Amino acid sequence: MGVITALGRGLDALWSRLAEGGSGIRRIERFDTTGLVPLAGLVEDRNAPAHEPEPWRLCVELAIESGREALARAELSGVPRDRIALVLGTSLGDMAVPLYRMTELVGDALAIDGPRLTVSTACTSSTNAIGLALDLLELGVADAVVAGGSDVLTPLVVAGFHSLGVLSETPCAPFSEPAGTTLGEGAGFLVLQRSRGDGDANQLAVLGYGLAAEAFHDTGPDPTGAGTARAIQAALGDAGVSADEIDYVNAHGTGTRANDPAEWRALKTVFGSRAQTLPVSSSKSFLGHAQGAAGIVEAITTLVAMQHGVIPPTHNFTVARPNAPADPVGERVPRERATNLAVCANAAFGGACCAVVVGKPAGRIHREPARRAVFVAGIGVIAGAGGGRVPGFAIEAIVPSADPRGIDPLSSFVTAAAARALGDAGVAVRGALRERTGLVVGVNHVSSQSQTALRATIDAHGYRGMSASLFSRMVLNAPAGTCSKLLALKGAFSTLSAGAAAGIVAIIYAAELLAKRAELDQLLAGGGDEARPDCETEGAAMILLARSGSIRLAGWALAGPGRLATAIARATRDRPADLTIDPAIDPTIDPRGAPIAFTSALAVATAVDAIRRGAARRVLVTTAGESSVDAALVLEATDAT
Amino acid sequence: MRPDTVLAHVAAREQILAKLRHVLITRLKLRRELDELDPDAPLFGSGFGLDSLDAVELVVCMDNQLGVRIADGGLLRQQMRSLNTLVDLVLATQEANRVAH
Amino acid sequence: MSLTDDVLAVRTAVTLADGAHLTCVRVAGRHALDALDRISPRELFARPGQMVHTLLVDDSARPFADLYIACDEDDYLLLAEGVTGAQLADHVRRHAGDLEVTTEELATTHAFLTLNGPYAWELLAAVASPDVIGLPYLGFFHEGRFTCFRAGRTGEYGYDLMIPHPDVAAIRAAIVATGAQFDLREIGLDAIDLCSFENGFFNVRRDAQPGLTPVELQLQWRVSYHRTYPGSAAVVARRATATRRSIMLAAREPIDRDAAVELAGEGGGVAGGTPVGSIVHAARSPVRDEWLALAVVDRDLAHPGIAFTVGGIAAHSTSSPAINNRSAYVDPQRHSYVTRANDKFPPLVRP
Repeated sequence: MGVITALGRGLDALWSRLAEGGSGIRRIERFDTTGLVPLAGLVEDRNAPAHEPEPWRLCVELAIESGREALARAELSGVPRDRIALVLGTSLGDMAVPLYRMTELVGDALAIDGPRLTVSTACTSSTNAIGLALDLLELGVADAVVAGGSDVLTPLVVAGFHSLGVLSETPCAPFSEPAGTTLGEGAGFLVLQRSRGDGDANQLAVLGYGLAAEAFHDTGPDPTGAGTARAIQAALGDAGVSADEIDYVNAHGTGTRANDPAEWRALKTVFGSRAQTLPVSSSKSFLGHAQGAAGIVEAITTLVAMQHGVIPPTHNFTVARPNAPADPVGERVPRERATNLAVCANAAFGGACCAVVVGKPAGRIHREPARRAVFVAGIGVIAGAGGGRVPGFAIEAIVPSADPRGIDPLSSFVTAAAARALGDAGVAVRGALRERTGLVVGVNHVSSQSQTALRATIDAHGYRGMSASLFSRMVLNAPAGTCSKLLALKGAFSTLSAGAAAGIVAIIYAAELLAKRAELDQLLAGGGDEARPDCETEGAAMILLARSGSIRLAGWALAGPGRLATAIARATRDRPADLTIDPAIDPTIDPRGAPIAFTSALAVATAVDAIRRGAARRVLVTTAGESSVDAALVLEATDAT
Repeated sequence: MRPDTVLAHVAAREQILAKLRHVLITRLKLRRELDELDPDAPLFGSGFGLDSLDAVELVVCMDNQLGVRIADGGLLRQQMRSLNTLVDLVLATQEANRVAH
Repeated sequence: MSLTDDVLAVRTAVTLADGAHLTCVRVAGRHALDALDRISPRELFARPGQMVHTLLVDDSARPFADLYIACDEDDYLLLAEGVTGAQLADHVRRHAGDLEVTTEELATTHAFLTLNGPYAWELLAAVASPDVIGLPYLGFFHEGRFTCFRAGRTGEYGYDLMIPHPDVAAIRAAIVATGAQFDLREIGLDAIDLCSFENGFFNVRRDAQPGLTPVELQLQWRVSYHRTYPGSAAVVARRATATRRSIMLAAREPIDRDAAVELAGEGGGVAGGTPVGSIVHAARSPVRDEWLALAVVDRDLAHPGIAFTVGGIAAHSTSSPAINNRSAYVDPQRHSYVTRANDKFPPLVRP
């Protein structure tokens, strides 16, 4: 483990300040906060104005420093560099560089030559990153995964949360008064390896994770907490742990009027009457809300506390708000109590919910999930002629129930392509199937139209006068959130970024989830892009993966950048394909050779089409995702031998 | 009321209504024309179908485009029922400012 | 037992009424969406579990039905008042032509109960399902044997329950039993209509008078000018020619529905000019403790804050809604009927 939070740099600083009841919430000095709430959980020695100009550089710096600590503590001397993977969760609203470029820089600095993946699902980014690491280990594409995230506070985020009216004037008091959250920042990583079964009883582990979508609202949580409940249940199922075995919950606990009661309802759903005695605390009360890094810094806080036989408290707790947890650990210092298994839960803009189960498995080996076959049930493509813009596109023409008001082009392309994939498969997502249908989207940028419009409102009226709804579109999972809401998809939900490989990596992640997870029946996966000044190509391609069909996903693999041959060998198991498609070299897919997210998903759709037409029976799709990841996927007709 | 008082009153309201309708169409992206936005129609839920995020947007726009700062969450709701209640708010604010100066 | 007490119960607690004024038709079949697309004056932006609020108009653009179109997976439920189930089903089929569509009049097999009040959600959550707290306005769900529509018409939290006849007595009994802790009051349609009127809401059973169209009645939000539907040509034509618009008037003395509306002169007296409008409906508002009247007046005068006279009675125009609904402040995540004394709410009358 390695970590940087408002409580200090390094694991030892976190523990010593946590133990003494310290708080990292301080006055923002790094940038001007005139007219805004000037409090946040900022990294103390990075709070000077000198650190403001390029937040992405600071974000990378924090990630590298905490990554180095994690690697130093893990002592991975026996693991080759190309067998180490990096999964970085971030939601930085800076947009000066694509998020996956930051991951590549971190990978370079940490000498990680395996796959480098970026998860960006707003406030669940790093929680989801920890989970994806488990899948990479099970997929066998790495022997160790450095998983976590990094995020820094920017004026845009402070202004955005301010305009949403959810910032507390004083350090936040989750579950108590006054309501409202306090923002923060930080970075942290876990180094994860498969259990060798010989660990001592105090070895810490990530046992499982779960994903779900609320499909409710862009920024507000579903008051019933159903999404968070499903994510926790999925995590327990993945970990092979029963709800009764959990002895502590590190809640998302933002402190807002909307979040806290919804989360408590979720916990009551999952834990039943045990919820009344279960300690539930929010580390945001002393760390602030570290946004995309919240999941990792809270998981590490949970694990550090567990190592020392204590439970992290909820600071600033005075009087319980209605619908607050029965035991919010409302104390100043950690409570002496030994725990073995904890749930860490987070929820985010776009309706993303994610939970991880962490603790001391005590001989319990992460069980080998039964793997089931994955098939392509349908494909959906939205693309402009000749690889250019998609002119005059109307979402309501494809999804009649979709009110186009406020939906940006990127979100409408992804949604329409997903709807077409469902239509192609003849599937109506209804009833309980909604909760069993997942969505994984690969994107590299937010909607440029929304970004430009937001910038215009800031230029005209300052941060205080900027558009809150456009601010809510500045998370990379906004298109997936819109798609999940409009099509009522409530199963596993994620958004990845990986440059040119973003689309195919999303499909591979979805395939891995469907192969192992009993709570899912199907997933939509693919990628989308919206034209930007430097790239006219736009559109989306989505694939419906299901448990039956006439085209099977025969193999898939990821490898570090420049190691496409390794990925191909693993995906094909050295059996040749009769057609190979690579969007970078196939002019029918990408005439302009632009490294964008959706072309690699389009290549998969093209492969499906080729098999359906009888032009090929076994197709290899490959993509080199710049300095992030190389990917290979094999599709074959099911009657092929 | 003197006829010219009525005319001035109506003109003042129409002028504010025009600004508010413009905000609804440009910032809140309502796909309607100006004359379709009836002044007593409900803004939220039913009616124009605005939601909580739109409410935030409207508060911001009231501040930076009409100079009305809505600070109190409680008062907010009764003042944001319809275009007419928003016009009432703007007029009351203008009157308060006039008296203050 | 008074109408005033009924209305105050709607405004502060929970009330139960029979919904005999409601009807419901299920539209099913392969072309259900296409059939409704032909008759709906508004885009059908409803996902499963959501409703669109619109109305139906005749050839002179006069509304004859208040209509919620609810998307129920592949089918649609039409929740309406102002028409019978048979008329509504006939309207759908008549315009469906050869489309594959079936209609089922659910009001023949179901009865309606309607719960209204700032704490209606809390009673319903206790009786039916805690998920009620997450049900947004214009949402609906099926709970066991009945269907719950959130389509309140009083300005307060409002739920219409559609219940199969054999289950009505048991569900009503359960609501009444649990309702005791909410001071549940059983009320009639007259109280619901009066609450709706205080909020300035359109009542198709009362306000659909000849010559009044969605343009005069400020109901343009319920129609789209980009669609073709029965009566759409008349609505479009009226948009260009309408000279009057509705406005709510408030008065200290009773207002005569048949009296003409005139501009008040200086000092509040009758100016002696020509009539500028007429009254659609007038009633005493229990919450405001004064008279309210829905008038249609010259468009140039259809603004709040103007002094009028109605048959010599002084009145002034006011914004809608003319009252302050407590439901706008009651938050299911924070509030509860039991602890209401600790909560500070604004007064019911807008200053």
